[in-house]
Amino acid sequence: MGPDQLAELVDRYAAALVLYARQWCATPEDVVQAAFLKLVRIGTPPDNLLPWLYRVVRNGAIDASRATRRRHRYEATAAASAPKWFSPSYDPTGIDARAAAASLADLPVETREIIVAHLWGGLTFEQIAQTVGSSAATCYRRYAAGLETLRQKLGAERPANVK
Amino acid sequence: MNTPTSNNPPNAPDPLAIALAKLDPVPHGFDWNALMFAAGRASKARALLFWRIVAGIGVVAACGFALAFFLRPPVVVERQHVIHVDRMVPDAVPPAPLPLPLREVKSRPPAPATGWSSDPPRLNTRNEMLTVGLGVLPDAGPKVAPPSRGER
Repeated sequence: MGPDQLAELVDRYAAALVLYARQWCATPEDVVQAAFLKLVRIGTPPDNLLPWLYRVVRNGAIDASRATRRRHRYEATAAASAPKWFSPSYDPTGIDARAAAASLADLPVETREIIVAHLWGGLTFEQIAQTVGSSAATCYRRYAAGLETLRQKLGAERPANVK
Repeated sequence: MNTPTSNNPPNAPDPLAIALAKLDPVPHGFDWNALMFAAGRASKARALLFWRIVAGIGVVAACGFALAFFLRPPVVVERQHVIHVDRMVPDAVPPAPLPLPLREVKSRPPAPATGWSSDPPRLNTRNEMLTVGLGVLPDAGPKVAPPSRGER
């Protein structure tokens, strides 16, 4: 993999991957960079590149989270300096980024990771199922339940086709 | 969650999902130079590992040769045990005298025996007298009377 390919991948997926890794750990940039370096190290990109990247980031983030938990002195610092999840929205009709992040943060991590991977990572439910080691139907059920919870918290209207 | 959910995504996307998806994640804070440097190093990791292995093998081989050189068994040299004994050299040994040249010796007939030992009759008488006794002595003529003591 050449530097141009790597730069393109980073430009395209890094932000969503960082957001995905942030669901578990306080150092998502390091985890995502490690995932890209692992991709470079293996030489030939895998067939399912995007699910592979998300799986590597997920495993790295979970490992980093465990390591952070072991080091208690870093935990308070990381929590205090937690960065924003989303850039401020310039659409006045859109959802407030801060409220959305807060609502997302309240979701269980099993649900949150599916929502983030689907909405911002662009993964299908089959790809998410490969990443998290579950079935696509289970992933969709969790996604829909999480979205409903967000709707309640954010005060959004329910779509007409949802009974 | 009391809301029933199906196992399949609906055809029409959820407006809340669309609105959420419009939120842009915070841009990553990667250090591009550091990332590219690390990526370049990672891409050459296999070649680096290969050359490290080659260098390691070379170092091990060199150490082996060095050990073999310094710990090789000594060359066995058969030595003859030579014992040096101090020997006193005699001072000024006179050379052996050269043999004199042979002189021609003129042979002469043996000289005639002189004295009684060379007289066979007398020698035989002597031997008989020593063996048998005085009786074997021949009669020496009239015996002379020994002088008497009164005649003196």
